[in-house]
Amino acid sequence: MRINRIKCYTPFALNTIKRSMAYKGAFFITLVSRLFTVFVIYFLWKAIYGSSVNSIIRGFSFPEMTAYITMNFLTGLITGVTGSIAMQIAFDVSDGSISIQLVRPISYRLIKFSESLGGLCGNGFFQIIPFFLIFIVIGFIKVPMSINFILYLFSAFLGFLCMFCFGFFFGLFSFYTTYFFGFNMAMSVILQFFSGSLIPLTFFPEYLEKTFRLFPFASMNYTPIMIYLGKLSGKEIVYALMLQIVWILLLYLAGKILWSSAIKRLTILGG
Amino acid sequence: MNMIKKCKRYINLYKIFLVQYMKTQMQSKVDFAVGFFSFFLNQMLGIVFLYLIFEQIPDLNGWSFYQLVFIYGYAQIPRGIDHFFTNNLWIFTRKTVKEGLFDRYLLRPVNPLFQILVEQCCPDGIGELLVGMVLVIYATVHLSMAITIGSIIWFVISIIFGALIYLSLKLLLATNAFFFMDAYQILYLGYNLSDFVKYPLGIYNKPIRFTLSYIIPLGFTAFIPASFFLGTSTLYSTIIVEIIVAVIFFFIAYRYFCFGCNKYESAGN
Repeated sequence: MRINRIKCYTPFALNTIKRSMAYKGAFFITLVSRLFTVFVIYFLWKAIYGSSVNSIIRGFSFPEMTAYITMNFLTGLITGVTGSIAMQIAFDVSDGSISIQLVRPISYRLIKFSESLGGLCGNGFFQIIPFFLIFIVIGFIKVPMSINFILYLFSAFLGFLCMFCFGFFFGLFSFYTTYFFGFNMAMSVILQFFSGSLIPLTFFPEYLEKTFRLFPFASMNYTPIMIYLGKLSGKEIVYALMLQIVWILLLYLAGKILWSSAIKRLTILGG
Repeated sequence: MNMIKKCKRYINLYKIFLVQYMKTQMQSKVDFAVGFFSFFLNQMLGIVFLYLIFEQIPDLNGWSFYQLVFIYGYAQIPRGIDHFFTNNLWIFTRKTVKEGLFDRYLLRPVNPLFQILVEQCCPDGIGELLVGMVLVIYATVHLSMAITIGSIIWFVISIIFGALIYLSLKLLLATNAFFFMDAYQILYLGYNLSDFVKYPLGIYNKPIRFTLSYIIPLGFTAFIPASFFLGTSTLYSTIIVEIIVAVIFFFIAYRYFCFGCNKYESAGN
């Protein structure tokens, strides 16, 4: 029974991997351009540190900041694979293909989850590991030698789950609006900001930083990076990981509740 | 004479398309508000980022906070204009070629590129444009820059040619759809490089600076002309060069597009 259930979702995961391998040209361009992106942010920070009188800004030295932006990028590849989940749901709703998914005797949420998991595996082999090695070679990050690295991987996976639950919950709003693209864009901006992608949260005044850390967005990105950089003490790590789990559960429940009410008002045009 | 007639016809056609599209857009004013809001938010957070950085440093490579706000705001304006007029290129690169919809453009006795561009316009671009204007005016007041008729005329010229550079870049990348079916990724990544010209080019190393000035000349849509208004560069090294670059770039992009049109094979059998 159990095995059968896993079996029926594996094709969805495998298809996502296959799809990501199908466009090799596009893949290569993505690789080059993304590397370029990290370099540009690197230069921005280099200029900032060059203009500063202190060598440490808000608790980050320049090498640490370099590692921060690198890990921010890599963590984004781990957790962010589901970032488009909300958009995928919106597409399914707007072109009506969700109705086919709904008549099937399998869970829509699990389909999306296996697709995301497949995306994560594909990204892992074709992007995250190669990028990780490139960044070590060019000296943006050091070879990870401590327990922090294992904790990082664990925390990043929690971040992935957290992002998935959030993306699923948020994507369900596409049942209620026809203009989801705009909402999604606003949300991705907010996400960037509160997850520490734009700037480490320590740059905010202390009370804001403490508040932002409680938000689910910090659990998606900021927590794993700070663990990797060794910026959190043992006690703080335990607390941060627990917070991640709490958010996963809360967002999962929120998605479940919204799903049962959203599904009742789904309108699809045409036959 | 013929030329003027042709222009008139195209302008008339544009009006018809624009009015039609606006009617569909106005059906939902909420959509407009949401699009506007999200762009506004995006730009504002960028300013918050600069503000947080300037809490830590007195200046960035010699540029003050308000100078950076000016550059940042300026960068939004050509981008917003382009966004308003040429948004359909995104759909073109994703769907039109792949699904064989390009056929109908070739059947009508109007320039195919013109048809692609007029089919849709994006009111979200107005949001970018307004935010950019607000930031530029805000910075201008704080920097107590002199506003002359001359500087206003050059400002208008430089943003128009800046928008032309955006159009050329998008066209060049979107045209790849003729060869790869779906060039969305390439277009997306190329377009996103525009995020980086909202800061002074001096912070980057030489190869990147060169790339952003002459290979993917987005530098001319933001920092380079903005530095003229900030009084750190001469007119000739900024806006005049911008005009030349824009014209050449557009010429190349349009040629490539025409080449792509000839290579187009419809979908199906």
